[in-house]
Amino acid sequence: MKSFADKIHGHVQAVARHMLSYPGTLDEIVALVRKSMRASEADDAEIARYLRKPEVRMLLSNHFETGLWPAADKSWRLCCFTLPDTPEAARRRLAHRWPSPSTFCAWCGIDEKQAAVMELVPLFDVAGNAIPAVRCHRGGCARSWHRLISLAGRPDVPAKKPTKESLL
Amino acid sequence: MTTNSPAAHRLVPLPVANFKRTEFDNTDWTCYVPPTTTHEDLGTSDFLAVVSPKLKRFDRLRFIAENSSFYAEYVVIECGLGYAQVQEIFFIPLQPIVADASGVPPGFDISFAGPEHKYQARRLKDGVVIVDGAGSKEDCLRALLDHASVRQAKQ
Repeated sequence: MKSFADKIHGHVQAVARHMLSYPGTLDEIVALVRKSMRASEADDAEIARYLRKPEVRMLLSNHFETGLWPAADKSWRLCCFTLPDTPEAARRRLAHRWPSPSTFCAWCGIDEKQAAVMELVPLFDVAGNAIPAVRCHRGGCARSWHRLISLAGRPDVPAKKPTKESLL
Repeated sequence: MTTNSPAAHRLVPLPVANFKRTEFDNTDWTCYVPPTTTHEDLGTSDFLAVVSPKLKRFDRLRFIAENSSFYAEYVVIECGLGYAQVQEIFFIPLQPIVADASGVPPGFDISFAGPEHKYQARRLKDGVVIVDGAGSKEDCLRALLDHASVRQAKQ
């Protein structure tokens, strides 16, 4: 039997994976989670109360590849931190450009508009040089971007053989 | 403690003249090296030929790969113009557990199986689920590598 917490973690992770990144009110995010759960096991207020807790959001960020944080003006951000599987896919993602490098988070693509100076930080390489034209949300997005750079630097993986091996 | 042997070892306390702050006497250098640099390269005299005029005996060198793939500390034994003999203190590769396709052992597959099961690791030849409910790819891979069947396969 899965506990309430375990169910919530799984469904928030699934919603984040589906949406990739979602800026909205917490009520909207909770509604998406409820839709994913499909059953009326908990009401919106209970889910919202659970997700507001900082320790829950820290757990989601560190162990469930999901970022959920409050942004400016009662708005929240839901973001998926799953890395691509291959260095090739990582390089494609690193090369992607959003409409504006100063207001869009490089990892999740949420446009922070006026709040960008508070919400987004520049990233630095090992030697302390700023990575040009890249700004990310502090915490999860920035960590994911650094991991993306590290993944892109790895040697390429040869094309995968079909996953189902012969049963004979 | 007295002994009867003629060449008894006498303990001499360290004199104040030999007791200095490291920062006044030697320097700790941090060197960012390209990731293609090998472990052997770091120990050769030619690698430090250009920077050797700045070095002093017993300076400490920290070599950090630009892509964070290794970290090493060396100490300078001898140096001069165009040469520097160094001694390795330690060298640590820094690769994290890789949850991309190359880190997964052959014959296994890690995939997201929905909100109830999250990340699962399956053995391909019979489809048996080895790890279920892992929240992230890294956690799933770690649990898989710890699992009895994978450890046995490695041995």
